[in-house]
Amino acid sequence: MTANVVTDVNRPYVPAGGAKLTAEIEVEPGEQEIEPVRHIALCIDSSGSMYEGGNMDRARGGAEWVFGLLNDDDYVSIVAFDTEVDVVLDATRWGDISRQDAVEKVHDIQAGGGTDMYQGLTAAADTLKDLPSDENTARRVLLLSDGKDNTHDPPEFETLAREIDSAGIRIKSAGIGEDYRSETIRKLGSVARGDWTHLQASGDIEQFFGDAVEEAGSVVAPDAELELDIADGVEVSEVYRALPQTQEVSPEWNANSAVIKLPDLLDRETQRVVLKIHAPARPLGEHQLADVTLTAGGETATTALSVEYSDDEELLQQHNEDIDIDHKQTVIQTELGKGNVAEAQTQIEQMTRIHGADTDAVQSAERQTQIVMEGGREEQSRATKIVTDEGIQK
Amino acid sequence: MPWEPEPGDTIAGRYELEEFLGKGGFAKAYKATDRDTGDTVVLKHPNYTESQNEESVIEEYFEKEADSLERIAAAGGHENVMDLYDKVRFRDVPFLVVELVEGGLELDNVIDEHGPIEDSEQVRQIGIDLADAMGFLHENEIVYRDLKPENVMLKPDITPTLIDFNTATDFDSTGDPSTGNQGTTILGPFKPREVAEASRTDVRQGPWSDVYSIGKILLFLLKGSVPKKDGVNPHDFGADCDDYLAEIVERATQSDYRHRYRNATVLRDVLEEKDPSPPSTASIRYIQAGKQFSVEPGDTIGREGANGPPASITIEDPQGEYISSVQVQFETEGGEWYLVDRSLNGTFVQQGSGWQRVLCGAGRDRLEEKGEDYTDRHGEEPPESIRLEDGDLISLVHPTYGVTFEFKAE
Repeated sequence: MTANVVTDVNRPYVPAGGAKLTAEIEVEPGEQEIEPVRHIALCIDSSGSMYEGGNMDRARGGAEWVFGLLNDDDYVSIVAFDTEVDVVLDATRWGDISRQDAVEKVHDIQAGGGTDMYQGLTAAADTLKDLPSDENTARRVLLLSDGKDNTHDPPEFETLAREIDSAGIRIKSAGIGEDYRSETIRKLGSVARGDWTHLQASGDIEQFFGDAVEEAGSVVAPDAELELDIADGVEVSEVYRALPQTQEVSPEWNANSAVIKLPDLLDRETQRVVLKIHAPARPLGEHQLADVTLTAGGETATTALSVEYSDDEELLQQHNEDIDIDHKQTVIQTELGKGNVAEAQTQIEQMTRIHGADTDAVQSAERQTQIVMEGGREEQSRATKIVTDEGIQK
Repeated sequence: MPWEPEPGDTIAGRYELEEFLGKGGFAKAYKATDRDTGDTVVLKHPNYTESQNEESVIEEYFEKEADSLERIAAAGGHENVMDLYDKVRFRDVPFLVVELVEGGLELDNVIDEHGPIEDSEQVRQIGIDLADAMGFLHENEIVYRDLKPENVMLKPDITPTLIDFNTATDFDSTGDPSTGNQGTTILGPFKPREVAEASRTDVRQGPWSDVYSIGKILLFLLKGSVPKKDGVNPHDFGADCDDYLAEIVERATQSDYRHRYRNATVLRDVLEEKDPSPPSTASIRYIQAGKQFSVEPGDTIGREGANGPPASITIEDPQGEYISSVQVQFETEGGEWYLVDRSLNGTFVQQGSGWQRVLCGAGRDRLEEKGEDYTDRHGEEPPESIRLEDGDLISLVHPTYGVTFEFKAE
């Protein structure tokens, strides 16, 4: 298998009457053996406003930047959208086009009026849909926009993102400036299992495109998901991705099984899902609450989420607070990502009551909230990607 | 909660804080006036309030910066490295008093404000200065580890100054500097594979690791962005620079360090010459071990597993720790090869007429302090460097020590 899956709960021992637990599932992908073939669609807003502040020039530069990163077997397409949608470059194998020709196409992008992002995204995904793909293909739409699509609301984009995702295509969405609808950008990145980000300056565009293309090159297994086969009476709720980006997840339910879709597995990049699980009343002894199966790149790995029902007071006191804290922090960061400072503060109050005001996690959450409160969209976007275990913020 | 200084405060009865300059993950900085001298300086203190890092991490990294800056100051400083003037503690908060880079802007801000630098000549000049500074740090057993645009300030005359030293450190004895003491790896496009993946690769870090970072900085200057990809030719990314510069960047950023320039000195030299081909090489044969090594200007020989910057060629010390972490360095001038001693015990070179001792100033001072003989066989003060000729023998520590090389110019 290309990855390990590990589970943990905050309370390994529960009373016979049952309890509500916090659980964590970590997916640890292995080392990449073969570099995937990348299918990249650049979906660029070319509305009139993109010409202010040099955004359009930098978006063109971003496309050229991507060209420097592609291998001969990769495919690239470019779609520009304003009031109209223009397929500037249909999906083309990089080895079959000269850099010069590709650059000329990029410079052909014309300015327009409005922002028909819905049609733009549809067209961008369409350019990739018919390309041959397998478990060694990484498919991405990279969306850049500075405006609102006034004819489609976030729920419609959610549906579109789901369709694109089901074609094996992940969306990396970026909003630039202050006028785009952040809910739409957030939904697109989360639902289509990529990520979403705010770009503060036009100078960040190249980096956004470049990072996304290089990240696609580190895919170990696309189309990853966790299936939780849940025992009778057990309930699962409040499911979030904690890593790589904090995102709320709606599991897909099918009788007693819940499917949690994961972003593509990347070379040695741990993913973490946190959730609440209600353990119902059971006789004393070990009981399995759920079977957890990771499916990725056509392979599977299975583990169990189990607890021991006990009446030993000492055992019942055992509490792994880190698991609770991880869940709470993920909820707080997700809310901060939406700019919901009030909700984040409510969560911090709860965390303070349980873990104490002196806890590092409480203080860190307070600092993050303060930063978002005083900041803007950049701070919100950054709050969802804070690195806690693997590194430090520089 | 630690005390938080504000503009208007006087620190340690001497430094009057003026405007707030900026903050990072570890420190905050203020412009200040030194009442004693009237000079404008910068005061840095740990960023307890606005960093997302834990307090202990902030303090650890703040301390690292203080240590590195003290070592740099002790070595006499370098034109392209920020100077440390003083270190004070006030109301239980540590402060570093450092040089104000007059009119300086961090490289990333330079690019944000003015766009990429299209003039190859300016980029070349910055590269020469950075390579020179990096060579100086290595000589003083400091590894920068984190060369990236935010850590370089550019003055209006385009002179760069290295400013942030909180991840710079002396090498720990495990030879795994990128993980520091906490096992923390800092990733980014400016780091070569052997540094970014230090915990899971056998590839040795060395002077070539900083060569990679400088190469990436040059691409950043030309284009304003940097990919993680290795072996980047600026022309492939749309940069309109001179061919020689594009080729130097491509060579400096190779995945395989054996295809890069060997050290910062070689990189500086090829930039100065505007000629991407590596300079002349020589070779040395380790007689006792029967091993052959190729040598480029700036390459060093040192003890394997030593605390200190990794030498280009490392040798197992047959008698313990008499060989220094950097024992000797090879240099060229006017087409001639020179051996420069950098050791504490000295090096001997045989040029037909007998063994000539070569000893650096620090080594001489140390032997003198210990009351040991530091003179050469004529009873005179030995030179710090010596010109090498084909066939010369080089013995580390002493001719009978058991580590002797035969030098061949090519």
